[in-house]
Amino acid sequence: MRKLKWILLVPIVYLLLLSLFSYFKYPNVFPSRFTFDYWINIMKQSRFIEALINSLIIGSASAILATLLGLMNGRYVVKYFGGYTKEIALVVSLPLLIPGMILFLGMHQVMILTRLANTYLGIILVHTIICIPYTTNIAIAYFTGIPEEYELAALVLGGSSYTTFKQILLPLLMPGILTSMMISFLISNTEYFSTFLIGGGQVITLSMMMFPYISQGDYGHSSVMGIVFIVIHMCLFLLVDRYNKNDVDVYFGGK
Amino acid sequence: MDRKNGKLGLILPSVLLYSILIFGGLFIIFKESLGYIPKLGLNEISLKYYINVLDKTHFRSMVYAIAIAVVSSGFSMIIGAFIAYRMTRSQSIKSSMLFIRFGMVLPYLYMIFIVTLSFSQSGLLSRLCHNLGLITSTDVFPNLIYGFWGIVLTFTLKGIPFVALLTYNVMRQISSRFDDVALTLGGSKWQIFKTIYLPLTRDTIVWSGMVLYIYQIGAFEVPYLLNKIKYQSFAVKIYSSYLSPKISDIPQTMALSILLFFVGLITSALYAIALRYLIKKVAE
Repeated sequence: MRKLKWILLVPIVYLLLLSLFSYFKYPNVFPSRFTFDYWINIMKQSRFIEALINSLIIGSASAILATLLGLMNGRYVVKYFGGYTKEIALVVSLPLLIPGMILFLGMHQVMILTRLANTYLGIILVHTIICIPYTTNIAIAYFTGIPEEYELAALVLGGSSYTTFKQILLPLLMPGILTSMMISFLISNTEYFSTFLIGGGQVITLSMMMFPYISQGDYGHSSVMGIVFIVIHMCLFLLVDRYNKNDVDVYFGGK
Repeated sequence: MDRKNGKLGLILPSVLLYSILIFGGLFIIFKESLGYIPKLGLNEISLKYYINVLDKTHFRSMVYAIAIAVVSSGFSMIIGAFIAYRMTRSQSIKSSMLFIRFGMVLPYLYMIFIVTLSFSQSGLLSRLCHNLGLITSTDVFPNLIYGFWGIVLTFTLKGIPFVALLTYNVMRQISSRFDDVALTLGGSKWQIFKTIYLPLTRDTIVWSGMVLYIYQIGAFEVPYLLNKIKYQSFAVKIYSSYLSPKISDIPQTMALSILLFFVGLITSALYAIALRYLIKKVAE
């Protein structure tokens, strides 16, 4: 049982192999004929650079916005609302409790009405909404972990609310902020359907560029796209993990 | 200004976003589902579009979507909870955590690729069987990918890390508090899991299962890419109808969406209640 998980390495190894070898005829178990063609083909497309930049822009903007809103919601729930009840959790999780198809079709209608369809801002707002449940949950967990006395002490000692925030709260919240940004960035970049729908197919991201290769069963190019995507996000995850040594336990869905 | 009311400004942006985009969107869809779209010259409010869409084929694809979601979120919950429990038992969770991260990082789209690569009729498993002399050609290998089980497989694999991570977060709190007591009293591993861990993590497991369930009945890319033409999942059906250029199809599409909304709401609530009951039964 314990060793079973190492079987998961098989697809990872095959991603690497298939991105570098072109001959994979049935029933060969290993591909052969080394080539850089798949990598070169992807890299030299101007669409690839465009997709990479778009993913970075949309992902970062959604991450910043969702994290900021999550922090504000978290602060309100913990300090002024007095705790995270199941009811609040239900309201916060609303975007996760409505089937994606109707959620996105509805938002698409609003975007058409407000002329935000086919724009970056439209996509960013939609991605922000589906990230808010996660960022709010994370923020609540971190705010709950900060004793109220810390803040009071700082205020009593004459700190303004700004310095209290900057000197006391922000450092304590930092791991939560990073986790929250990381997760939102990831959610935004994995979204295929909403990006395609709201962007009207005009805003190309990494997920959208991946779609035709996967639907056509093009192993070589799919592998390259997959490796690019996975490496970017795994690195970010590991960086955040390294920074957050003592992470707080996040209870999704209320306590 | 009242101090407390002033703080409402903190949640105002989120409330506005939710109201305008989510409720505004639902409202527009609801309005159009009743056939009220003045821009297109449709001014008559009626329920006829709902009556139109209530037929056997739509019912069948709805059941199909629900069955997929129940089975795959069920598998994800069971396997995810066990993995989380095993992680609390083991000395080093570094490699497990790395695999969980990897699973979370993969987009659904890419999970389709990995599942096809491994389990399709000309996939790795089939090749392995051929080389071991178990099968003679690709046709003999069962089709595991296109259709119900392929979709379930993809959803299940993608759901496992999600459940495992959320559940592990709660479980590791329990382990330090209750383990020694339980072990001193002579509880077996399975007993400890059943009577201590499961009840205490019930809310988290059910919550994550529900989120997966709702995601899966409304998902597009997995059923779209892995479907047989005969049965279409409900959400995919809605999208193809949404793309139709016929004006008369618009209210129909919206009626289907509202149907999906209510079916999702009711079945997910029932699902959560059933799960809570089931976990309680197992824990007894």
